[in-house]
Amino acid sequence: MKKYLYYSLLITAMLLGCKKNNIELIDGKTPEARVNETLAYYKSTLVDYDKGWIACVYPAGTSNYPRGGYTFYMKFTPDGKVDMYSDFNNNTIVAKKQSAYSVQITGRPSLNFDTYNYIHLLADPSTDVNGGEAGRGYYSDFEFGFKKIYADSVVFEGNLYKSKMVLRKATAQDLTALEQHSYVNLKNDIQNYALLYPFLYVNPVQGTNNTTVLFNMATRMLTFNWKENGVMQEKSIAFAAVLDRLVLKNLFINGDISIAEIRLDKSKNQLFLVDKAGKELAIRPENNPLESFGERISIYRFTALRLQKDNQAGNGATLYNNTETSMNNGGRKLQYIEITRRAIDTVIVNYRYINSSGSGYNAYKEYILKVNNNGQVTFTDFVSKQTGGNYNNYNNSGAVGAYVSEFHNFLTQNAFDADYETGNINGGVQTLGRLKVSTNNNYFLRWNVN
Amino acid sequence: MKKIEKNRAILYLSLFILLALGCKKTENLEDQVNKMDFSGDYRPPTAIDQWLLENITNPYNIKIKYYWDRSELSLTKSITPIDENKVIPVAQTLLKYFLQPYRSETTDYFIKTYPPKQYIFVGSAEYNSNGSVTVGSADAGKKITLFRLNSFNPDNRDSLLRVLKTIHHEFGHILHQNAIYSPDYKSISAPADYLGDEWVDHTDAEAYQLGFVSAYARNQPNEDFAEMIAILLVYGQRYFDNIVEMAGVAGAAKLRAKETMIVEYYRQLWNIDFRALQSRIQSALPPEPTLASILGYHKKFVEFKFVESDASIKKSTVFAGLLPAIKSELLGYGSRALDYILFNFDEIQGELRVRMYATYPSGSTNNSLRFKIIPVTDKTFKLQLYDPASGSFFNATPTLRNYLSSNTFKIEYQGASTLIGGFYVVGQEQTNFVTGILQ
Repeated sequence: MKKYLYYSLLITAMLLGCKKNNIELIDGKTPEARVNETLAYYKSTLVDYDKGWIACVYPAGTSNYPRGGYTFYMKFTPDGKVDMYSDFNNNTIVAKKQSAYSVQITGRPSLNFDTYNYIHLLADPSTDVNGGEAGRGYYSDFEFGFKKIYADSVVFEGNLYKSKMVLRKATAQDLTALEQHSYVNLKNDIQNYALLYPFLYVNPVQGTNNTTVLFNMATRMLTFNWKENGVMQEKSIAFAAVLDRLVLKNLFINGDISIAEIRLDKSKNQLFLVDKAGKELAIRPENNPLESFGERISIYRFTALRLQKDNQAGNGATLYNNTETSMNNGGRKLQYIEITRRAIDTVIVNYRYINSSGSGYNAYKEYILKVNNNGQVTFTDFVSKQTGGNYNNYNNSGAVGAYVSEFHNFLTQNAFDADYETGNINGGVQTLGRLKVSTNNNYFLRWNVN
Repeated sequence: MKKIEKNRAILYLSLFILLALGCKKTENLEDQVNKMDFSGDYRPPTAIDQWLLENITNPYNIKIKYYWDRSELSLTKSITPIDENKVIPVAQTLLKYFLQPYRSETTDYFIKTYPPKQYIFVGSAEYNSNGSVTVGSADAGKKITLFRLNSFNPDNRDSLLRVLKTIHHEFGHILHQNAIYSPDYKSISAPADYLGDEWVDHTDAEAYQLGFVSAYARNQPNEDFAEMIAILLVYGQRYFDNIVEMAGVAGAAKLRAKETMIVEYYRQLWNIDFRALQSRIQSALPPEPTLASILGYHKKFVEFKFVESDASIKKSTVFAGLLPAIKSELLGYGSRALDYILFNFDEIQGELRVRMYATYPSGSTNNSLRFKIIPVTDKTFKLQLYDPASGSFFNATPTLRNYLSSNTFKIEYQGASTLIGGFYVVGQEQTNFVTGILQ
């Protein structure tokens, strides 16, 4: 063994001794010289653009805790300072905050935000700061590896969670919006638009690949829904709000649909989808949701459908009034009746009321819901076979059962046709889901569906 | 054999040296190594850096690192850097309540040698898998990391003490990493009472009974030692004495034994008068707030709990005289046997709820009387019955109702305690009060 040691020592010595003669430096520079040149190049990319950058940061989130994108303005100075605004909340969009940054090697050439600024709000492990997961926040980064440099943008990937950050050169338009603190307006505008037009179709041709989009401004995610072989599909994608558009974290592709951004044209009161090449197509508001009303109430979903007094007419209105009067006689004020899917084949009807001392209560009754071959919907009184699990009679439904018996009988003694009714209902254009007694065209109930 | 091999070894080694040196260039390699620097370009010193240099680094030989450096911290956890606005306030706290008091009680040599050479300031806490958070750590007697500094507010006494406790706790570790305390310290509490990571599942109150100054002290003896130092120095003797009082006979004896050993440790191994150091820090700190300023709606304490059987809650002559009537009236109301009374300020602003918790034949229950708080002076107040139509319970409890609505009270701690306090009738402070555990 020792022999080998000596020989290897000998060989090493020979190699070491002559090392200098064999050195070939790439471009004639030492590694650290080349590294520092690279870092200087990356840094100058950020510093040299004097209007600053618009940054979209997409935290990694988790499947249990999805999180969409946040928009920042960042201006880098040569002495390692960065000024920031953010659309995190209404304060961070108004007050500029300065902190330190550096361009370093941390595994790879990285942009690090070295003292606290708005970008750390997403990464902060304290729930008090961001309402995120204790110990993890939004699973977001503040050390970002450089991935790609384009003429007017730089793409980064977070070193810890692989969250995504895209820096785009700020334009005069961006700076004006920042000055006017209007960067937060888009989310409200889109929310308002979506309230007016709840059923938004992104597919360019009606009937082909019907796909709808829903916006969640709280989580900053949007959700696409479409049907495949009759089965509803959904995909949620993070967005960041930038000026007049939502910039998606990833391209959404489904058949002939390809969406990189969604733009709101306020003057035309119109949403557009923008594909990768920048081509725009109008997003179509339609009267009806993607699912038929029959599907809507028979597919396993938790969205509650609400029956309100104002939306009823004819015999349905009489039924509602009778139920209301009956509840009143029992000392309770009926607020609305709601239908929610409970399990794969049952629904809950909630009679929501206010008692004599002003507190709100729910009274739940559970029904087996079936859709027959003719598309007719039936409700059967559900009696749970589980002991202690009799959902048919819980949360005060015992207390109000007698007052809602007419309504209960109406549901259980009829077969219904389910469809949508759109039009001028009670003075406003809206879409309601309708359950019409199959044998009587004038007897129906209408449910809010958006 | 051996010898031959040795000779051969010498031969090979000389050959190695000869060959290795053979082609040596005359460059100074050491300089090149020192030049290796992948940290990007130079960051010019800021006003904060200048302040730290003048006030901390030059006089105390301590470097404060506040720029983010992942290599100093866990590589896999979500931890965020400090806000620059917090750097100088934390450093001032370090200076005023740690370095200066120690400097005054020791020597120039001590203060430049033993305090950690480096402090790392971190904005967020470090979250651990057992659900606890790390607020400080000490490494190898040289480096202390302080976490959760972004929520530091030097104007808030609780916040100040929290950070200061971490500073002194971690320095306690540095001291014992340099000079270990007597092994006898570890046997004051039973070995089985040290729990490792499971300390998080136990309360402070349990810890006191076993002779520990906090739940965290039960982690292991070194933590016990550091917690004792930090609580004695930062929270002060009055606070410690309160803990001892709550600890029961066995717990109190252990806490006193540990306290004595800490004082001795400082004297024998470091030649420091611990008591002088303690009073120096205590007199530098902002005064303790009055109970009246921290008991109330949405304050540090929101209620106090009167328990007749708890001997640490003193019973005034007058209130003790009323207790039998209070209890028998409650007993007359559906056979409710009084367990305790909560005096709660937190349900509605400007209102006091007096909630009587009782055991009755089919379980336990509570009923409350509601009072509006009517200030008389800035320190005294009266209680006005509110919503007197609230029913039979109101009518069933005339003694307590009348006692509370017919006196003028002020809020005080019970004696030296910082954990017990309540209502004292103005002008009869010695004989007429009702107090309870602050919570």
